[in-house]
Formats: sequence, structure tokens, C-alpha cells
Amino acid sequence: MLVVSELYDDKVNGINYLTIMTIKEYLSFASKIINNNEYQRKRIKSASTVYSLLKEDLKTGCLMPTIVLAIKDSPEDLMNDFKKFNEEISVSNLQASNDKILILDGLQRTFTLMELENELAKSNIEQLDKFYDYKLRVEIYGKIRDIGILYRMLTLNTGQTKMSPRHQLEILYQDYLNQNFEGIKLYREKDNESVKQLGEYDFDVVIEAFFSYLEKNELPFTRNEILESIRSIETLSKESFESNLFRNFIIAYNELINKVRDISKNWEFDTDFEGHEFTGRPFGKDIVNIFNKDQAMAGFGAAIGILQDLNILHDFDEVPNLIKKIEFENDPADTINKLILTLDAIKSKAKKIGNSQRLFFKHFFKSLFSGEDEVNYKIDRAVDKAYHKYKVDME
Amino acid sequence: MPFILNQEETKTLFIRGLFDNNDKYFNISDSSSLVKDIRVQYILDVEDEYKVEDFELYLFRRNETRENDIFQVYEKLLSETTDGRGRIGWMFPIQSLNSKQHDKADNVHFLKYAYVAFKKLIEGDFSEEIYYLENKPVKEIYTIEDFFEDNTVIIVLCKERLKEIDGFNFEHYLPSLYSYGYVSYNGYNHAIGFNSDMITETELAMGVENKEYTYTDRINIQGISKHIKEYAYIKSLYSSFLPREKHSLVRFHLLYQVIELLIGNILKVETKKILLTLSGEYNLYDTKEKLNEIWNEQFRINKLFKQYITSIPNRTKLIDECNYILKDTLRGKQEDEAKAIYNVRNYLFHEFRSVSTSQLHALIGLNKEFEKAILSLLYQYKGNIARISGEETEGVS
Repeated sequence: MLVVSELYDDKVNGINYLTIMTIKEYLSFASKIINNNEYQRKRIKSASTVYSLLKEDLKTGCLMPTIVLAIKDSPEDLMNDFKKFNEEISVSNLQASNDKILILDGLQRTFTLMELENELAKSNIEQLDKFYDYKLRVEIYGKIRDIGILYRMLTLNTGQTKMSPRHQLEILYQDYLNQNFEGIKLYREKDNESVKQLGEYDFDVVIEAFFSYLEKNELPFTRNEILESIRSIETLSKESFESNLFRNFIIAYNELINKVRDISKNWEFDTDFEGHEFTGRPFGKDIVNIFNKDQAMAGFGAAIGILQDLNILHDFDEVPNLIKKIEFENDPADTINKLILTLDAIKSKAKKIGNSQRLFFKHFFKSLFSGEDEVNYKIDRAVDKAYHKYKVDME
Repeated sequence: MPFILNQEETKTLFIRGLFDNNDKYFNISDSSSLVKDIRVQYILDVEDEYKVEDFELYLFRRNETRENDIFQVYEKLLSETTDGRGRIGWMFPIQSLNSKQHDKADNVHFLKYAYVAFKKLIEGDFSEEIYYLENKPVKEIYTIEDFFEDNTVIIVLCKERLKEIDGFNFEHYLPSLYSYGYVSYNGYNHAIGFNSDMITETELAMGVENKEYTYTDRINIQGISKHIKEYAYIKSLYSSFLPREKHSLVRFHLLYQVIELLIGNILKVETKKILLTLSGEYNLYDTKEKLNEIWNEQFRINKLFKQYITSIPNRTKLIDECNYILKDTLRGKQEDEAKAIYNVRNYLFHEFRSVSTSQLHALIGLNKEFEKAILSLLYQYKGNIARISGEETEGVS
């Protein structure tokens, strides 16, 4: 492998190295990236003949467009390798760091290379050797924060087979799975059917909530919906790329739940609830159970995104201070009971329950954190205002 | 019949759906195996105990659907004769198949029906015609909502239960379903002709306490009288004419055709009864008088409302609405529903040139009551049984 150029990307605060390597060198670490990373593993099936054509072209030495990679956490050995300009260097450090490498652009081309490698290994060893020797250009982003990688991923997503932004977020942040940080742990739903302690969150729910923040939209995006994610790009383009936005997002939300649980004196649903007949389960049986649901988290994300958009908040870093200000004006139990009843009423009449409850929570958090006099960080007033706004939206 | 997906100028005929238990989706294959499979996500818990062929599925639409409106379907007559055990199936909006937020997400009985419905839908087993899907975006995994309009409602009925209803035919329940706001899928076509007041009243009868909550999970449907089941007009009226027609004059005409249909039936029944008396001793003059009488439309309409049904619940309101129009005409106000509706009809048809704008506007209110009255007639019509001189006499149909 040769490192032939180094350029600093001022936008995302990262270094971009241009390398030239053989296909054999590339596949020696790239196939491991795919096999080790479940979110990058899925080959998109297509009836199109484009990739079949590419395979034929590759056998005769056609030059593929540059593949773009990013390396998380800047492993020292690798960063030292990249300083050796125009020297033949081994890819062994890339192989050793394959769990930290993401393919930003060129995932499907990588699959095509792997498939062709397998085919030739079975049918034509001579052609395989020639194939291995053909050269590739590979750009590698190093010394770059996660958020910078995300921005590059979204803006580079102009390939023939687009990956959904949601999918990209999963790839980028899958490191957070099963890690403990600041009393928080993220699970995949299948690993833990009922996450219920404070600090335990469903990974998919958090990803979606973060995406709601970026998109300023509380509605769910399915993994397979291909979007332009213009709003996400806009949101990120205002970031300094110095802080760890995703991590700060989860920590702030966890602090919010902690605060509400404290000031509500650990509210729990009373099964002897009078004055209303629930047709099913209540929305949540305690504060954690209410607020760790996707409806609440997505509503929070969208609300904060919108408040930033309106310049009522200038930075996500302002959120922790606002959380300190929230309080109950009246009896906390009455307020949370009212919240539960409101969510039940929404469930009863909504065309799509999840979406309607997300809308309600968006209005709730927007009212709560806007600083407006009418609500003034009071949870009770935010519940009332949110329901009023929800009903207006529904008319 | 299977469905055809028309996408990016390629038409593909999809046939079979197989369930992938690991990733929880249905994999639907095309008939040629040349096109890639499509995957449809199934997010509910799987309860696959029931055999799909033991159920019938019908598609309806409704102006407003609510995810939590998942109902057990009870047949009125069956419930009355089996001490309340008249459940014949379930009905639910399409979005309830794609969500775990509603009240029935953990209900095993619902989940069994949901699985049957899902399988039937993706294999096109709900229509005898090929179902076309046009211009759907390409996706890696679809949801069931991608394939149907978003106000679709599914009714799944158990064939075994339906055998307990003598001469069951689902078309006979179209008027009842219409009263709740449900219209057959193909007849919907931007339905604009719903009687929202009637729907609200029906919902209240179902147990909706107020605007905010619904406290029922049961819908009761009833069929039309067995004596008029052969009339095709009734099906057309509720599956396409009424849902699509907004003009009040046309709606009145459409509804009045039911009166015409019923009094036509009465004419047949009563004439045969009279002719039967000719086999014994008879007075020719009296017979002629009776025949003349029965040919009179007003006479038959009176008979319809007084003898051929029990009563209509909104009788007073119907009379009031009719009299609001009639009060400014030479016909004047009427005292009973038979005369009132007949006079309105005659006024509109024979003196339309005299109808004012306010009277035409008042027809909107009249039609709302008239629709409810027509439903009562259809449910209660006694056909060939009529009271003569206080004794019940079985007539000849």
C-alpha cells in the first residue's frame, strides 16, 4: 500500500489520506470489516445488471471509483503508518484495526469484489492472481470524531445503492452496544426483552431518537427507507465536530428521566386508579417505563432539534441546564396521572397510536424547554399545553 | 387471486408467501422466480394455530380509522339465539397489523386472526380479481400498509361459525356496516356521502362514552330481512350509490327506491292474498275494491309502516324534518311518517319547479333521518306475514 496524499478536512476536523493498494491488500481487511460488523453485513440484492457488469469489467482490470473509509479512535500504529509517504507499507495494521474501520462509500463495490474473488478462486486461479494485483484508490479518514464521520457518511451517500441514514447511524454507533458509560447501557431488543431500569435503553430506540433530533421530526423512519436526510446534514453542518453529540444526547436524556423520577417521588401507577376505565395497559407503570419508550425519546429529540432551529436553544449543551430547571407546580402524582390519561385518550382515538403519541411528546418537550412564560419549565403546564396543541394539529 | 406489483415499468406477479421465523417477515415470491423476492415485515407476536382456509376475509374502508378500533364481530340474531355467544369474527384497521401499541397487541385471540388476515392479504386471497399495486417505491422490506390504502379495514370471519347462520350471505350485512361508516373497498372511491350523525349515534350505542374514549371492543352487525334478500339494489345502494353521492336530491331518490321496492313486494303479497280468497265464496265488488285499494301507493306505504315493520325509532324526527319542507307547500304538515314521506316525495318529483333553496337545503337534514328509517325498514320488514283484522295470517309470497 502507498500513501500518496494527506489533506486536512476543515469541515469535519479530520485528515483524509489517499492511498493506492492492490485488490488483494484491500480485501485482506475489508472482508473482515463486513463480516465483523452486523450492520454492514447486508448485501443489497438487486435485479439490476450493473454489478454483474462491474464484475466482468473488473476481470479485465477496469479502475473502480475511489472507495472511502473512516477509522474511529485513531489507532496509533495506523496513524504512524500514514505518515510514511510514497513508501510501500504493509496493511497489517489495517487488518488489526478492522473493527474500527467503516466503509463510507463503496460497500456494494466491496461486496462485488468479494464475490468475484470467490468465483475466481473456484474457477480460474490464473485470473484470480491477475485480479488480486489490480490497483485501487482508497481514501481513508483518520483522526476524526464520530460525528464528523456521520456527516461525511450522509453527504457521501450519493452512490448507486443508497443506504438509509438510519442504517448509517446504526453502523456508526454500534460500538455503544453493551458498553457502560455514565450509568447507561444500550441493548438490542432481542438481547433484553424488557429494558426497565434507569439507564437501560433499547439501541434502536436511541438511534431513532437521535435521528429525530437531527431531522427535527418525531415520526419513525424505517431502516429501509431511503431518504435524502437534508435536514440531518443541515443540523450537523452547524456542529463544531469537537464534542461527542450522540453520547451527550443519551446522557442528557438519562438525566432528564432521573430528574423527573426524583421530583415525582418515584411515581408508580396505582392499579386502584379511579375515575377512568383503561381499555388496555396504561402507557407506563413508572417514570422510567414512560420515558424510555420510543414515543417519548423521539418527541424529545425532535423538540430539541426544533428549538435549536428556532434559535431558542443555540447548542445541545444548553439542555442539561434546562433539565435542572424543570419542576412540578402541583401534586406530581396528579400530573403524571393526567399524563397517563392523556396518552390513553390519544391511544383511543389516534389513526396511528405511536405517531400521535410522538407528536404529543414533541409538543410536551418543546413547551417544557422553550422557556416561555406560559409554561416556565413546569411539567403540569407542559402536559396541558401539549395536549391542546396536539388536538389543534388533529383538527 | 395473487397481486401484481407494477414498479419501475416492470410488472411482477406475486404468488406465495412464506414466513421467516427468525427475522419475522413474509417472503413473497414471484411466479417466474426471475425477480427478487419481496419481504413484508410482521411485527406482531406470531400465533399461527388457525388454518387460513377456515376463514373468509373482506376488505372495507372508512373515512376515519383508528388503530385501537379492533372489534370482535357479533351477529345479532346468532347472539340472541345462543345466549350472547354470537361472535363470528374480528375486524380491525390495517394499521393494527403493523403496530404493538394498541390494546389487543397481547390478545391471543386477536393475534390468531391477525396472522390469518396477514397471510390472506399478502397472497391476494381476498378478491376474485387480480389486485394491482401501482408505483410503489422500491424497498428492502415492506410493511403491510404499503400495499393497501391507509383507511382500510379488514373483516375476518370464521366459516364454522357462519354455518350456524341460516343462509348466511355477507352482502346482507352491508347496510349494517354502512351505518358504522364502513364501505366495501372497491366501492369506496373517495366516498363523500357518509352520514356522520348516524355514525356517531351508532357508536354511542356501541358504548363510546364521550369524544375522548371508546369503551367497547365489540361490534354488532345484523342482516337485512330474509324476505328481501334477493334484491340486488340493496347491495348497490350501500356499496356504491350512497357512499359516492353527495347531492341531497339524488340521495333522497336513491333512498326512496327502497320504499318503492318494499311497497312493490307488498303489492305482490297482498294481491296474492286477495286472489286466494277467490277460491271460496266471494263478493266480486268487495274484491275489486280491495284490489283498487292495494294498488294505491299511499295505502301501501301506510301498510308498510304500520303492519310490515314493528316501528322506526326516529319516527318523530323524521316527521318533523318532512314537515319542515311541507309546511310551506299546499300539502301542509302531516301527522304520520307514511304520509309525511310520501308527500315529500310527491312534492319533489311533481312540483320540483316550486322547490326553494331553503327547502333543498333542509333536504340534507331530512335525508339523515330518512337513512336511519330505511335501515329500520330493511332490518324489520316482515315480508309475507301481515296482520289482518288483528289476527296474524301467514300470507303467500
